[in-house]
Parts: sequence; structure tokens; C-alpha cells
Amino acid sequence: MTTTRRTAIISLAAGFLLAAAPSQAQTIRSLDITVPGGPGSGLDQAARGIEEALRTEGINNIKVNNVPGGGGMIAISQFVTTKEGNKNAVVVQGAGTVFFPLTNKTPVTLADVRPLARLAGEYEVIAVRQDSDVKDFKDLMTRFKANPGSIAWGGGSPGSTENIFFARLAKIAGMTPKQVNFIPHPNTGEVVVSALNGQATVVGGGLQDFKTQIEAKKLRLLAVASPERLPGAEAPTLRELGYDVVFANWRGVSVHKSLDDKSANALADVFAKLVKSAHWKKILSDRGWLDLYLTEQPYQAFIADETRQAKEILTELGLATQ
Amino acid sequence: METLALLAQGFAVALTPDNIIWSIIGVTLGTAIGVLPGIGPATTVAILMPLTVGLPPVSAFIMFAGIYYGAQYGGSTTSILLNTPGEAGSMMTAVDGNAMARRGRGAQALATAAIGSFVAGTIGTIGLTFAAPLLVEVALRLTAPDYFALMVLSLATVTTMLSNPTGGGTIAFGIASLFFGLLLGTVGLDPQTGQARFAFGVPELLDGIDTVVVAVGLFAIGETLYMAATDGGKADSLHKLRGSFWMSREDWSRSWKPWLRGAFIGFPIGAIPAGGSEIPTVLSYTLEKKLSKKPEEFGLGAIEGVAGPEAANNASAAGALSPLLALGLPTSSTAAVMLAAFQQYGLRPGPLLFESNSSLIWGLIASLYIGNVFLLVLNLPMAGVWVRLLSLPKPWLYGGILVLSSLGVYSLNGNAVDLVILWVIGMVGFVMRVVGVPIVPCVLGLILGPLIEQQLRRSLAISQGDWTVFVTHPISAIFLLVAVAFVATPIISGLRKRKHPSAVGLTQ
Amino acid sequence: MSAHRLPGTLFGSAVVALGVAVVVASQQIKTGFAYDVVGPAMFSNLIGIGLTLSGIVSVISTRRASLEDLPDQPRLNFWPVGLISAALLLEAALISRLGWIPVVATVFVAGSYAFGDRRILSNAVIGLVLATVILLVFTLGLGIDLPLGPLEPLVRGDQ
Repeated sequence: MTTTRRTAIISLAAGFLLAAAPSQAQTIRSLDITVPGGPGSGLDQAARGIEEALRTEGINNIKVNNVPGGGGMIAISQFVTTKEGNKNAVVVQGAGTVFFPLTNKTPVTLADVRPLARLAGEYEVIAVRQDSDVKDFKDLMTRFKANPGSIAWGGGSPGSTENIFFARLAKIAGMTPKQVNFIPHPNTGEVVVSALNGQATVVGGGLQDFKTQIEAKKLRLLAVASPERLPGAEAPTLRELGYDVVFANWRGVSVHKSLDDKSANALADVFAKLVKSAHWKKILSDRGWLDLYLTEQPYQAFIADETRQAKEILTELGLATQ
Repeated sequence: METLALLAQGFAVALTPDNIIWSIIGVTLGTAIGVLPGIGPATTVAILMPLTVGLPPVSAFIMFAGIYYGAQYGGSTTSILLNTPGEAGSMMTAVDGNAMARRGRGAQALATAAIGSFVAGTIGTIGLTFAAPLLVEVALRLTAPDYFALMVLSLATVTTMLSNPTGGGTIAFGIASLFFGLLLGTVGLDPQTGQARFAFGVPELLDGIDTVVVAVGLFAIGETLYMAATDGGKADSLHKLRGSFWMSREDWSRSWKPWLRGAFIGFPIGAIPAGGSEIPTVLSYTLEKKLSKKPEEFGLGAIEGVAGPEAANNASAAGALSPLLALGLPTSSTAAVMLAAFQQYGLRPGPLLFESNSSLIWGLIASLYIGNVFLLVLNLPMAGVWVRLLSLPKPWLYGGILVLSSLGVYSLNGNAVDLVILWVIGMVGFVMRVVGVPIVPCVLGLILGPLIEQQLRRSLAISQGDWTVFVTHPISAIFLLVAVAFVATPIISGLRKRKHPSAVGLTQ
Repeated sequence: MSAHRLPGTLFGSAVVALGVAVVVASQQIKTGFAYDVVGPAMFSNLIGIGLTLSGIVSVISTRRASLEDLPDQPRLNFWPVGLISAALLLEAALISRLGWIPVVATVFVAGSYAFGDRRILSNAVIGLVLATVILLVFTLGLGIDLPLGPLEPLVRGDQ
């Protein structure tokens, strides 16, 4: 072998090594997940699902921190201050995390972190008691338009998902958000109770919240707010009924704003692999969640759009802060 | 009866050696964690849940059932001995229970609590076995006005607790205490409209002030500060134990009816969605005080004041399982954690689960009976041991109380603001003891105020502003009438006393 | 005014002040929501009024009560109260930075000192052991996160 050839081969080999090295340094081996909710909450369940699925993908060192309170803002605040430069840290969020700062003055908002990927969620559904007078969705809206105060709409916290969802429906029907007689509840258990004892004319929530009652024939669905019909639910979509509303209670993850693109992309890859994994798909089907995967750019656009729409409605309801 | 046959099957499942061991482990762990102040049954079950991963579902649930009941038992120990209720349901136990402990009758208090819990737990579980679906059907007929009236009634019973039995103070003090509790309850986001009230821009306050923080602050920290101010500097031990550890015949005869009454109050109210465990204990305490031949003893160590509320507490825990198992509806935070446990196994409790997985459900119910027995066996002898805790020298005892209180409070949310609130409330508790202001109305106000407000506003929203809805709903009307009677009777008898000052002993 | 009446009077006056403050603060609360007849401000206004009234009655009844009706005032030592308060506040301020063990041990030592046990060193040892046991059982055993403070890098291992 001549000297030049040897040099060439060595340089080539060196070149390969150099090219391989950075990508090895980017493999994520551990994950630190901050959850803006207590154990058992919706965001916590999402985080545990992520944890479970990622373990089967070989990432064993996963830590989940629950930081409940303040509508999720305490967790975000803590994340921003303590996870600077942390290439393995993500924070979970959901629709509620976006809506909360719109109705309350908080020191931080979702804009202080970098949304990375939307993962899964559930579409909102509308249900009534099995023996309710309300026959179907059209009947509901007719009654609403005739006497808005007579329809009690049951849902979660004020200013959050169902509040905004119902307001959107009202607007499409030509009414104003303020005409919706929204009955807030602190948790889904109470929403179901309000449906079952009849004090709420209709209720809104995720399909999983009502599934037990639907199967027991105590509640029936009027409509679902998804792009296509939901498997296992025999209700028309709002789009089919002429109401162009798609509304989901979604979950996603964000990273710290201080990360450079390479680190952020490394984490994004982890989640890209996650949503393709068989175990994740099993978790989704077990829990009745839907795959709502979006990568960084579309996710951030989605959040911006949701925020804008919600802000409009919340302002009309008189619930928005400056 | 078919139910009995199913129950027998359940026992067959629950009585295997493996499952018996899981039950024992469950009750022991549940009691151990439940004993810690500030850590109530919901937190206990949540904490111990990961330990059950990998177990077959039946065993896991048998362990849960043990933990669930065990945590209820554990809470009464710290209430009685250390005046540190682990959660609001143990608060009424602390009132007379701790008073008994101070008089050297701690073992008797623990005994009546343990036996009462066993009796009520068994009655509650029987109720669960036979009456759950029916009870839930009835419970679902209650709507917002009825809830409002029930809570107003509970609050009205506070009139029996406004005077400080240790002397001094006037009714006005008690009312001020009540209103202060109501004020604490308004801190945070208004549940009806999401408006922030008295949060002063502190995000941790947006979720409101936790009942546990107030209970631990007023009872434990307030107590510690007061003892430090009055007894501090003298390193002796307190609560000299007197006499035997066993309940006397008089104790038994005074306890058994409150046990039964407490159970029958606790179970149905526990089954009502949003009934909770505070309301039954308050109602039981008031009932016992009204029925007692020696009402002036209440607050100073009347054994009925421990027997009744403890029974009510345990029965309501069983009651809360009714909507969970019958309909899949969690009506208390503990039930919500149990529901999460079910979901981890891919199970959804409800009428369908009874059919599809009946061995699991009946095994669970059977294990509640068994767990109850184990708890009695475990706790009764332990009463003597626990009571020795009180003979620790005061510096270590109160130092330990401070440490455990910090643990209980900090583990709620993991934020230091709760510790600051704990101190503030502790100082309030200290001042209240110095001045002679009763503490219980404050905690009642904190718990019931937000509930009353929410149910009121919800009722009015649904009725679109129609106030008559509170009288047109029959149950609501009845409860409100009784509440008015509670408030009016002392006023009327007070006026009568003034008219006829020579009239003898018209105490309420 | 005798010392017997002082606590009651002070208490009543404080309650009145609080009540007035509450009513004033309640004026900031936004109202005017559809269907919510009562609104978020009504209850807090009522509470403020209730506090004010009960505070006034407290003061009046304390002044009017005959001396036997008033409770005996034991002599109050305020330094133990101050010591324990300082320890608790220190705990709140430093717990996330220094971690569970040192601050809780401090609370224990302060508590026992306040009750007359001057053996600071041995109580510090007891406090540290107690805090460590709790930390081990809860954080490592049960997964409740008690803050580790500067110990964090030790337990975390590789990042």
C-alpha cells in the first residue's frame, strides 16, 4: 500500500469516525419528565404512559416529577428555572395548560417553554342521560336557541375545555357565548353525577369519562367533536351535523427554551420513535386515547391557533385577563 | 339469596393463604402510613399503589382494600394521641379523643375508636354488599338544592360547638372562628367562575388552602406553640397514664349506641356523591351531644364523642365504595385513587364489572370484612403501645410532632408555600387557644363554606335565578327546616332563660 | 382594662380589622356573570361583614363579662413560640435549596430546645437520623419526592 493510499484510507476512516461520534453523543438514555399535575391526574397518566412505553424502547432511566398546582403554572415555572440546559428534560402539557393563563394572571405561561410534540388525547363528546327529553343534537340546539337558559351544560372548570367547547357551539348556532348556561364541576366524577341526576341537561367530556355509563345504558351520546366517527361510539360527528368544530383534550411535551436545535431534535426523535412503537399503540388502545401526533412546527402552530380562538371566546365570556 | 352465594364465592377467593397475607400486609401498611399526620387515606392509597404492580389483580385489590380501611384506622391514632388529625374526617375524633388522652384515658379512646371502626366497618361493608346499587339509585335523586341544604344543616350543627368547653369565650368568639374558616375557604379560584379571590398573585394560593394544612396547623402546630408558651422550659413528660388500658363497663355501655348510630349516619352519607367524610362525623358528634345525658362533658373527654364520629368515618369509607363499585363513580378523593388503581389493570368498575369480573369484585368485598377483622386484631393491642408514645419527654414528642407535621404538609404538593401557610395557621391556632376561641368551627367553615357556596350558585344557575327551588325540593326543604331548628333552639332557650332566670338547668 | 380582658379585646379588634379588609378587598372581585345570580363577590362580602360584626360583639362581650367568666391567663413565654416559628419559616425558605434532612433536623432541634431540652448536639443527631429515615422510606421507598438539596447529584447518578 502506498503512503498516499494509506493516508487516504486513514483519513476516510477518521472521517467516518468523526461523523459517527456526534450522533452517538446525541442518543438519549434517560429522561426527566415534569408533570403539572398530581398522581392520578390526566397529565400524570399521560406521563406514566410515556414512561411505560419508553422503557420497552430501552430508555430505562426515567424520572417523573409531579408538581401539581396553580393550573400547571407552578410546574412550568419550576421547569423554566431548574431545567436550564438540561438535554433530558421535558414537561408534559395539555389543553388546560394553554387555557389557564388566559383566565388568570400567572408569572409564566406555555410561551416560556418550547413545545416539541403533541402525542395523544381524546376528542370531546356530548352526552345526555339515557331517558332525557333531548332526542339528538339538533333537538338540543333547537331547545337552546329557543330558551338558552333552560339548557344546563355540564363540564369541567370555568374557562377550560368544555366551557370553550360549548361556547364555540353556541357561536356557530348564531348565539353568544354568554348565553350558554355553563355549570362547572371540579372533576369528571361530579360531571357524571350531574348527568345522571338530571341537573345538567347535557354534559361534555372525553369519551373515557362516560364510557362506563354509556355501556351500562345510563348515558347516551349526542355527538362527538372529532374529524371522523370514533370507534365504539355510535354518534355522529359535529361536522356531519353541520357544526365545524373539532375539539380535543390533547397532551404533548415541551423542552426548555435554552436547548439548541440539535438537542431538541434528539428529544424529538425519542418521541417520534415512541409514537411508532407497539407498546405505545397498546397503551393508547387500552386507555382509549387517540394518536394525535404532531411534530414541532405543526404543534406550535396548533397551540397558537388554539390560544387565539380560546382568547376570543374567553373575552366574550368576560373571563379573560389581560 | 344470590348475593349471599356470590359473597361466599368472594370469601373463597379472599381466604386463600396468599390473599390473606396480602390483606395483612395491606392493613399494616395502610395503618402505618395513615398514622402519619397530614397523610390521609387518599394519599396513603396513592403512595402504596406502586407496590402492587406485578400482583395478580385480585391480590392487588385485596391489598388495596386493606390499605383503604387501614388508613382510616391509622388516622384516629394521631388524632387522639397527638391532636393531629390526618384528614378532616378524623378531626372530630381529635376533639374529645385528645381530651381523653390528656386525662390518661388515651388507651380507652383508642380502644373505642378501634372497636367502633370495626363495628361500623362491618356494618358498612354489609351495606355495601346488599344495598349498594339501591342506595346509589336513591342518592342519584339528590340534586344541587338538596346538597346545599345538607351542607347548611351540617354547618348549622356548629351552633352546638360554639362555646369553648374549657371555659371562657363567648358565642361571638365561636362565630368569629367560623367566619374565619369561611374566609380561608374562599381563598383561591372561585369554582363557579374561575375568578381569583384573595390569592394576592401567589400561584400556589390559586388552588386554595388545603384542609389538611389548616387542620394540622390549628391542631398540631397551634397546640405545640401553646404548650411551648405555657409549659416550655420544663422537660417533663405529659399525659400520665392512669389505670388500666381496657375499656370499663361504663365505657362499653356508653359506646355501643354511638357506634351503631355513627355507622348508620356514615354509610348513607358516604354513599352520596360529594358527601365526604367530614359531614357524617360532624353530624354524628352533634347527635351524640344532643342525645347524651351529660352534654357538658363533650369537649372534655366524652367517650361518645369519639365512638360516634369514628364509626361514622369508617362507615362512610365503606359507603364511598358503593358508587365506585356500583356505578364506577368516585365520590371521594380516596375513591378516585381506587378508580385509578382499577384502571391500571384495565378494569372499569361499574355494573358491567360486577357481571364480567364478579370474582374480583366479590373477592374485594369479602376482603373488606377480613381486613376489618385484621385491623381490629392489629390495632387493639397496639393501643397500649401507642399510648406509651405519650410518655415520651415533651421536647422529643413535640419535636417529633413538628417533623411529622412538616412531612404531612409538604408531601401534599411539594411546595414550601404550604409550610408558610402551616405556620400562619399555627400562629392563629396559638392565638385562639390563648384567647379561648373554639377551633372546630374554623375547620368546619373551611370545609363547608366552599361547598355551600358552590351548591347554592349551581342551584340558582340551573333554576335560572329561581330561589324557591330550595323549598320545592322536598329533601332540601326538610334539611333546611332542621337547620333552622338547630340555629333557633339555642336562641329561643337563651331568650327564655332571660325571661325566667329562676328556671333550672335548661341547657341545650 | 385588666389583663384578663386584653386578649379578648385584642382578638375582637383584630377580627374587626380583618373583616373590614375583606370587604374592601372584595370590591376588586369581578362580577356580572350571566346566570350566576349570586356572583363571586357576594360570599366574600358576607364573610367580611360577618367577621366585622362578630369582632364587635366579641369586644363588647369581653368588656361586659364579669371577671369570673373570663379564663385564667397562664403566664405566657413567648421565646419558645418565636424559636419554633423561626425554625418553621426557615424550613419553608430553605427546604428546596438545602434539602429535607438539614432543615427538618433543625426543626426538631428547635422544637426540643423550646421545650427545655438543651442538649442541642444529641438532639441534632436524633433529628438527622429521624429526617434521614423519613427520607429513605418516603423518597426511595414510596416515591414521594422529598427534596434532596445538595445531595441530589449523589442520588441522581448519571444525568
